[in-house]
Amino acid sequence: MIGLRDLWGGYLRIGVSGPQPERLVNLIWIKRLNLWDLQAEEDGLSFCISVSDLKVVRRLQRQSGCQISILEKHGARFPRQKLVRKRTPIIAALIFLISVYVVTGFVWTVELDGGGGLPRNVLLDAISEMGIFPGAWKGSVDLQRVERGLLIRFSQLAWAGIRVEGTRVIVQLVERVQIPDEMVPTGDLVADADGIIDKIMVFRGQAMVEPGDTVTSGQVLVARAEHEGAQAVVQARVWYEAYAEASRVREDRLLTGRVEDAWMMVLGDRVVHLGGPESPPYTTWEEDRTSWVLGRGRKSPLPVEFIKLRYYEIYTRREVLGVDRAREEALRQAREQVLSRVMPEARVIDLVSQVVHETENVVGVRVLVEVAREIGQHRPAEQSEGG
Amino acid sequence: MRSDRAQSGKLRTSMTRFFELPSDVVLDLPRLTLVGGVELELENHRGLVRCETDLIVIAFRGGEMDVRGDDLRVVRLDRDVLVLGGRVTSVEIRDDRGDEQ
Repeated sequence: MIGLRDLWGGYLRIGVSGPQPERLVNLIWIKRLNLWDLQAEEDGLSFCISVSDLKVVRRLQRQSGCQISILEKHGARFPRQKLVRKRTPIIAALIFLISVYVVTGFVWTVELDGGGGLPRNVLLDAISEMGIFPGAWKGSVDLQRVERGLLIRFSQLAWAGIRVEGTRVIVQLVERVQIPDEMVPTGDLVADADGIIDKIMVFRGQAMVEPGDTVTSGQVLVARAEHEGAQAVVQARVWYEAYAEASRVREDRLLTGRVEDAWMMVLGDRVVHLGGPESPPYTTWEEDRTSWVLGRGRKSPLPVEFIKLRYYEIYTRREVLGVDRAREEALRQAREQVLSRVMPEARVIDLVSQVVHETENVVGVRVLVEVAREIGQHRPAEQSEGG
Repeated sequence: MRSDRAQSGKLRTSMTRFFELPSDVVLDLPRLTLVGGVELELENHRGLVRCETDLIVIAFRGGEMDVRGDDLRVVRLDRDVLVLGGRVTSVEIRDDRGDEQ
């Protein structure tokens, strides 16, 4: 019977041939060796034994005068042996993998991204001093320390980020944006429109209004400090108004489906009519012109041009809109007008519409939109002093 | 010599019967267990005499056993026990004197 020992150590099916194969079986039995799955074969017997018993069985075989052959090999021993036999390629593969790991453990290149205002070699030298240079062991590089070091050493930098991609180290740098002096506000903050103050948040200067105050365009909201311009966020409710009219009679130009083609050839200044109507065949029409110039694409195309004019007959359909539809149309137009004037960052609080004009032919609508938006506008210092 | 051994055997048999001892242990006689005609277990055997798919001859002390059937094979052979597998159709026991049972 197969035991775990045999499965691990391996077992063999042995074929026995000769005058009396049972003799070998009995010799094995006398030696107290394990034997199992014995069966008759065409030329003798076959049975299974442990690999460890093979030597003894071979000795007994000589004694018995039989011939034995190994028919099958089973158990974990044989794949193990194969592996051992293939040791060289496995070791080579391992050495290769280890080499790849070791080689890719080093920094091969250091790339700079950004930091254009600073000399490249100065930056690379600084990075190298901090431990990142071609040939450095990646494991020993402290990215965060280098990032901090760069920001400390170069005050022009606003941000530094370092990442490792394989054997590449990519250093990303963002330079501090220097605001030009002329961009720095120096005067007061004034209202750019009429409105009611909602919120006011002063960073520099002195607030001249408070939430709930009604202000008019140009009114000082925050006065500048002694040497510095006013800086604040002032949000107010502002109203926009628009008026639009919509005609109640709508005319649509539609195709009747009738089409005529006319052909012409242009030779220099002369136009030669080749076929089709010489003038538009319909009272109302639209035309589509297609032309071909001979030799187009050449350096000097021939002065011959063929023209195809296609006339489409048109008819006008008049439609009298209901009051509601005309009002909707006018409202849509008025709303578009007013919203096109409102800044995108403004928040629409309320929208009121009113029909102010209505006749048989025309409907007029007025729209009033209330928005909340930033109304502070910097005024140069000279004007502030003057005002 | 042979008659001495035969006499000693008779004496042992008588003693075993008299003391009601298990004869397979004391006399080393074969003990046969047949499981539904598909497995045959023989204790106290003395090896294999012949092995074919339809006949297996097993030696034991004082005789031989012919096991007939189909697809016969020795499932296990160790020091004391021999287990046969296959379809057993008949078992025939012959002692050294040639008597059949």
